[in-house]
Amino acid sequence: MNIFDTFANPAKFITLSRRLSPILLGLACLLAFTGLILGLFISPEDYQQGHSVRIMYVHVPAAWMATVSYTFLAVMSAIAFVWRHSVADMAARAAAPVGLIMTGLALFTGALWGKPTWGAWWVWDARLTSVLVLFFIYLGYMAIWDSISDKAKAAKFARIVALLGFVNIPIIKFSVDWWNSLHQPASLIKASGPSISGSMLAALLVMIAAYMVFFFWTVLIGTEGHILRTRLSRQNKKKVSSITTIKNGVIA
Amino acid sequence: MIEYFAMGGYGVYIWPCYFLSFVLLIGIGRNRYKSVKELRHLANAKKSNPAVDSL
Repeated sequence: MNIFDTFANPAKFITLSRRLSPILLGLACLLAFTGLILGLFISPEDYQQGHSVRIMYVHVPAAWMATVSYTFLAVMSAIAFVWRHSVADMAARAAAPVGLIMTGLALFTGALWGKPTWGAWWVWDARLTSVLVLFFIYLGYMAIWDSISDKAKAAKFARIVALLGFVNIPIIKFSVDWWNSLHQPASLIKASGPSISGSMLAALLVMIAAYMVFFFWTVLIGTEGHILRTRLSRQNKKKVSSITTIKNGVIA
Repeated sequence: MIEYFAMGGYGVYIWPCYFLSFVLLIGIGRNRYKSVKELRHLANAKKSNPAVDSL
């Protein structure tokens, strides 16, 4: 059986979701619990930033997931665009609110980390501004689905916006290299290896894993929800149209 | 204990971050789970009895 078929076929997807979702939820809880113990109790304070460095364990995973969620959304939209798989559209749609929350959390926790470290809640530099733009792209994407009643038309517009909005992702990633920024450059993924001490890195990686698994859990059940909602609404429409036909038949 | 929560004077910045992250993530997870549970129930009810009205 092709894995692509499993994700593209709504019935197979529902079976997969029902089997996989409890495992993902359990794993996300376990990782989050471990990450919180490591981040709040075991990892040391920073020699310059003091305890404020503990904001990193919720800020960095949220910021990562903001871009990972959007990349996922764009890839799903591209799949829907090329192969017309409705499940891919539903997965992209399910990822958007989670991505929006992750982006909001990255902005909020970033502001609370910025004040004690930079002395400012907010600066209009490239990294912060491009993440704020991402927040509005998510809002725009969700608004399209909610405001256009013809779902085929909404899907078409949403795919285009998702693909155009993807331009912002490399801008976010490389903004700290391309422009002067208060924001620190990459410290996890770099050629010379991570520049964070071992115990801090362990806590951070576990929290990133927790957020990642949580994201896939919410997207999995969110997509299942969209499939079931579509099915039920189709069944209801069929029922209404058959009632109308009977009524028309009687009148005729 | 008080010293731990003060986090060397940074507690006022740290705890709101953890609190909001916890509330929002639990919130969206709970919302999704509740919604999909209801939909599964409705879909199963329709499957076993096509006369069930979900309008």
